[in-house]
Amino acid sequence: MKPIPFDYIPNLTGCKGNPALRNLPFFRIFVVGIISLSFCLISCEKELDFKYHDIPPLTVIEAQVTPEKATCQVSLTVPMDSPLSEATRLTDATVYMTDLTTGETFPLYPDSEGVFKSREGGVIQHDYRLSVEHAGLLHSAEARMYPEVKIISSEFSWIKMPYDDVAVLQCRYRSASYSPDSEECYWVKVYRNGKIYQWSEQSSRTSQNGIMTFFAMTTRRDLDAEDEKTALHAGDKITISISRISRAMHDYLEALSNDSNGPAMFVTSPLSADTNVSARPCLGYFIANTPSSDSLIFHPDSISYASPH
Amino acid sequence: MNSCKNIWRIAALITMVLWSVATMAQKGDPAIPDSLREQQLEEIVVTGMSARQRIEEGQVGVERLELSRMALTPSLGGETDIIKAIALLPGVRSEGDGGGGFEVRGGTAAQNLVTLDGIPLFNPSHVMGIFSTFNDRALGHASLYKGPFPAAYGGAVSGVLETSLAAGDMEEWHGAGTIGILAAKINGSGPIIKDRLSLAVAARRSYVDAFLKMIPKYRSTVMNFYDVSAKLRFRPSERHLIDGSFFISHDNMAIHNVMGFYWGNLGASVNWVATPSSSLRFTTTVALDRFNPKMGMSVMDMNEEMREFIHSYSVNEVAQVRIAAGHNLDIGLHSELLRVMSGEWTANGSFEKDIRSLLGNALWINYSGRPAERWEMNVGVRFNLSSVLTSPAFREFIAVGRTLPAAGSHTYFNPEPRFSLLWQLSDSQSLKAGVGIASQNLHAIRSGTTSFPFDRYALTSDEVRPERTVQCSIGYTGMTTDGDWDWSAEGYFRRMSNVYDYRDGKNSFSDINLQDIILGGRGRGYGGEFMIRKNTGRLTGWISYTISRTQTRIDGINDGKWYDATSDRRHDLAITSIFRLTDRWNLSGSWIFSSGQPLTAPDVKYTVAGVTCYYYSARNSYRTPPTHRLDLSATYTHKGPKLTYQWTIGVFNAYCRYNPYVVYFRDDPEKPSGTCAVQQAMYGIIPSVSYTLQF
Repeated sequence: MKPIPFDYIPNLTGCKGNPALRNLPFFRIFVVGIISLSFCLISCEKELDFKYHDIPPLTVIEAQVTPEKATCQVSLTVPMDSPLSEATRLTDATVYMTDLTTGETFPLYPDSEGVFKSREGGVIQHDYRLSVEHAGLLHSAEARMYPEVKIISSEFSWIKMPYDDVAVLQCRYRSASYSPDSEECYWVKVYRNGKIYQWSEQSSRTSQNGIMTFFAMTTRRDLDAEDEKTALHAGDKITISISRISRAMHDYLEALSNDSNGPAMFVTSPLSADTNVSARPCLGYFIANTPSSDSLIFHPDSISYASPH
Repeated sequence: MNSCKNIWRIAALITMVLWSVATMAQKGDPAIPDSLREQQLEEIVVTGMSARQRIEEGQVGVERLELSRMALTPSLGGETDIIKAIALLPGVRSEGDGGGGFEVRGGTAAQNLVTLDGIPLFNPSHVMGIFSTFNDRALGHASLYKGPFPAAYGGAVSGVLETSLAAGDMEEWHGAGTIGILAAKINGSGPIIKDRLSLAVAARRSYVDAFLKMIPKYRSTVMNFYDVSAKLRFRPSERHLIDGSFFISHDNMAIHNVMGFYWGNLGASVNWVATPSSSLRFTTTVALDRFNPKMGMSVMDMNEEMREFIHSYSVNEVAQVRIAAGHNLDIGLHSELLRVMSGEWTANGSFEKDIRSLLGNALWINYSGRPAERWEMNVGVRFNLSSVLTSPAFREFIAVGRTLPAAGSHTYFNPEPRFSLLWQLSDSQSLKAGVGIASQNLHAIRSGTTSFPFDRYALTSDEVRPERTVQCSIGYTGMTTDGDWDWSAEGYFRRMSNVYDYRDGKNSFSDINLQDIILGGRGRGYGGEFMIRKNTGRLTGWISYTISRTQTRIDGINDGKWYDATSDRRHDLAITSIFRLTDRWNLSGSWIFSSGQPLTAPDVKYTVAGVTCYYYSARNSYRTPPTHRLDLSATYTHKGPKLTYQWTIGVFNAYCRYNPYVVYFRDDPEKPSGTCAVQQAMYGIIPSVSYTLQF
């Protein structure tokens, strides 16, 4: 049995992305700290032969509207014993979006890859409702298009963990509409060479004078001991994309980070009172998105160590 | 693997050091047995509950713990641990690897009351449950109540572990020191004024990090703990006895300049026993305890700190009246101020805090006696009055973007009848039955499967009602006429109300206002406990077995359906044996088996923004693999005229079973399914050696 590679943090961490600790609110601080310190014991991990329960597939919707366009992917969940590549996009759904502020409704049509699209974009501060009709059910969710945030800085630093040096990514940003009397929520996504690396949700509760700090542990210095999914190599392009999101979406993403179901964003109801279809939960999200982004190149040799406080 | 080699190197180094110390201590100490000292040691071994006492014990579900016997059971790192030892009894279970508490009859560790000389202790463990807070050398006696407990006890709905510090010898000074592989301890006790004033002090400190610093990559790691206890006993006259007790424990776990975790208890009590006559006794106890966990992280521009506290200040007065021979009446008054800060968060300049307070008062009365030959009963009632305090001195709330919620003061009245009956069928058999209601105001909301020092605590308020349990049990005990063997069987049933858990998707740090992220519901549990003991001869020991089920039902969780509680274990088996090989050698072993723990595992998966996410159709609908473990130890004792020394060699987890600590799921591109279920274990095989010197 191999020793624990401590970049694999279990369910408790709520890290979403590659299974390494990323954003660090208190709960995750505690968990990664305790687990990192408990490495001192002779601990071990092994793979379990796990027997999963069979349940009918659930509908998954990933939808967003940006100032330029609207997109929506409708698929089904996949059994744990099957690869995610078997998740096929459903194209027999009816998808439309309603601008609740103006009352306009516009349809989305599937393209050759099964993604529903519309060239209608969104307008900042407008509210939108996405509606998906499929298999006798109507799934709907609402979102507001918030102004984009401003990214102030992004940088890497090394920190010394017991098992190795770890590169920490810090990004500071602010919201134009920030107010200390209200709470705002954000979705931070990190891409490596154009592919998703990890994401996390944040709340303005922890902001300082309106400035938010996103903080994530990334790769360890010893790449031979690092998993390829989490390893950062010299020259990798790291892109940070940040969007303001609704409280409902924050709670949904937080639940996923905590390895829980949490409150569904979508409300599901039968299309017709005559149908016998039972309304099962619909997973996924709908975001009215004005993302801001910043990129930097990972140069491990030119990254300095974080100075102690 | 490098960690394994280093641990062995450290173990060898410690062994060499111990051997050197032991050799020096033995010089000038002729091996002439001291008959008086041998007699004293034998007396200590006999102390405790005999088979006869178990037959005649009128209180159902109680265990008077034989500390000297428990000290002989194998333990992790050679550190005698009363918590791990009581987990070998039926109906009691340790939380598992990584947790330092114990669970009684399907309850959680936070549903137990743990006291030391009247001082309530919170989260009494060190280093993620590797050690308990109790220094076995400091303890005098301990009792565990599993079943409906007497009216004198409140503030817990599951179990009561009542312990006391050993008082100092009034005649002469004694002391002992132990050096082990992970920690060292020292204790001394003796008279300050002969027959009037004595002092007992015990201290323990770990030094794992001192050895870790020898390994370059672990130099920045801090991992240590210490605890100190002291008891001053003053006997001003034959009719008065005053004990002053003090206790402090502290844990430090940190990565230097990055993050740190600190927690501990600081407690003190004064117990005054006045016996104006042979039929009247008053016991006055004033106690306080402060539990203060804190953690923080400071890296780059991230500065976050979290603090909590539980502060308890109490006064307890008990009058014991002997009405007639075999009939006693106890009357008590208890008042406690509880202040709980469920969280104080400082994050990059933002600050949030939630402090609540409660004043709990109780009046209780209990009759114990023998109404007829072969019958004994304990009948009592406890009246609890709990008042939520809302004035600014007791209630603080600061949250970003929110004002203090309108909190109404509220007073809860909970009458708690307690009844226990013994029918002694014969000199060697008895039947017992009991029923009782209990409540508690301090609710630990666990984020994981075991208790952590940083679990958040909710205090009874206008929205959070006191937890309440109704328990009934019935039992049978028997013994052979010579007391060589005794056995017991007991069944119980519990109903619980106002049990709390996090809403789906929430954790400890989702909101400073804990009440907004928890839901309350019901629980139920039932089980059977069986035990057989061999008490005499070279080979002694016991076998205990428990079959049980515990469930929870909370509207808003698991669709409002009953689900297996996190503390549910279907089967628990413990086999403990102590073999006196010679007068100097004792061998002991214990094997434990526990069914798998409920686990919430995903049933299907999908992606969100390209990242794998999981859906869980039901809570706790899976089980982890079972836990089982073999622990062995050998103790060599040499009793000299002035000094006694003892070597203890042990192996924890002798066949290196990797028991589940955490189970999680991750992407694995090498598997056809793309998903891998992974189990992490906390311990492999851990050898230990310790040396004790006593005078």
